[in-house]
Amino acid sequence: MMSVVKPATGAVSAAEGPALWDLYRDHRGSLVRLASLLLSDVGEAEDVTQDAFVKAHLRWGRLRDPDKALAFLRSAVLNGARSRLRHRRVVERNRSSAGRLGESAETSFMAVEDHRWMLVALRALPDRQRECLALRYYLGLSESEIATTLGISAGSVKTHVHRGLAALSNRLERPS
Amino acid sequence: MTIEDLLREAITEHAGAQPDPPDRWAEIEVRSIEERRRRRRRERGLGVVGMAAAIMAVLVAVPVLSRNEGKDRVVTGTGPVSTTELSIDPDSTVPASIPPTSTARGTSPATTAPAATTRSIPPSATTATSAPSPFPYQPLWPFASPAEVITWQRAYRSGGQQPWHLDADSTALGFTQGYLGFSEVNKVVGRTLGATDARVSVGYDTGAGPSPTAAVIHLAKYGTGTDAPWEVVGTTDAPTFTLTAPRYGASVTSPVTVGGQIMGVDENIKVQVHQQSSATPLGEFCCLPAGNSGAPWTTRVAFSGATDGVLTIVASTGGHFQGVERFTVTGVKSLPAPP
Repeated sequence: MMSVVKPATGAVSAAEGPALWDLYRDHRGSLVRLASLLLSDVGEAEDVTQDAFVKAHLRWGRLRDPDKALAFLRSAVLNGARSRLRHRRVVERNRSSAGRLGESAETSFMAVEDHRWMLVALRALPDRQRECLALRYYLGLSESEIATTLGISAGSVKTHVHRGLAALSNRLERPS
Repeated sequence: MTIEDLLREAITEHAGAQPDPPDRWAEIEVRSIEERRRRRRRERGLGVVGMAAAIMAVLVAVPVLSRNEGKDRVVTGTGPVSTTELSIDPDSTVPASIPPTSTARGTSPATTAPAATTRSIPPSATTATSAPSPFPYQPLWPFASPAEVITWQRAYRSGGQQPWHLDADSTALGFTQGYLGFSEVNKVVGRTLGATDARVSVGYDTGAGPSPTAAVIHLAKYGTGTDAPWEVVGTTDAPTFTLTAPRYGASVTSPVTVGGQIMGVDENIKVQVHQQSSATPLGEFCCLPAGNSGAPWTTRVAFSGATDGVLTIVASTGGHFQGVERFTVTGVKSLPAPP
């Protein structure tokens, strides 16, 4: 991980600053990568992660437990990514059909080249399935941790993971 | 190689190909400071508006009180809302005599009370000696009909049974915890009591600082007499979380479209449909991601088994510190499902 030096701005109190700063130092990279798995745009992924840390900074007085703070950050990143995807879908709906066809064909072509097809397939899954698979296979979270992060039951997590893997498996058998 | 291995490999390759993101900590601090300043400005603005509203209320209340001077101020269930305000007791917690759910969920038939057209409208001002007017609200809990009220009053007068019905705090907490099942919302954080109308703020402990308010429960005296019990009739919502569709008193069938506005970050809205005679919700939707400033939210909830005349629709959100941090309710009438 790239070494970073904590700025001495003094904007965060001495009692509270280090903990959030530690989270930023230790988890910024993984949260950006998590967001980029869902968004396929590193710039947007960084912005979503920044937004999440700003929210945590504002609420820090009530987020003193580092475990809860990390869960909050993950949740904020996922919600931010979901929100951006919603916006993107609306924009894409308003584009001309010709533009959509061109983009789709190009994406398909690139996908068959290497492992990228798997990421394309992952991003094509419904929101919840995609998020559950990303949390499980990228961050390695347990079902209960995923449930806490997404605010759903552990049973729902199991269902989403199962359905997501089945959809990816179908895609593997019939790459198109 | 299984699909899981392939996925893991693809994700690892994707993550490994990405360089570490740049350090933008300073930007986080600057944005956070700016946001705090914005909030302080907003709060100051709200304070000025609140003070102006208080002055207006005093100007209106003084002539009304002076007109009523000397009249009997005993509660009749139809009188005007008193401006008497009790002090807030921040340490007030769930009373030991919280009404049990089983006794509160009656099986009486639907109420015949007419529908109100909007939420939380105060009862029309009448004199304390006028004839009882129909209950203008949707009776959400604990009584389903005037007959149930009379039954309880008889029992109370003869044996002093279930005196908590005369306590607005206990009724509000009983509704929150017993009927809606929000056990984490466990204390009264404020109240405004009138002769026939009350607003009780329920909230929870965070371990530090003041207890946040989860909802302001609106109660009204149901029935007549000095021992008319409190009935929950709705919530008084702040603009930060509202439930405006379906409108209060509307007739609904399944599925029902529910919506409103929300202000906040990373919210997950859960919607449930309750009726007094059922121990579990008739329908539920979980969960709708929402957030931002004053963003509209809407969803459809299917429900079945509605037999009572009045249904309670509740929308709740939370997940940052506990399961339920804010909620809002509306009362509607149920129509028979189409064949």
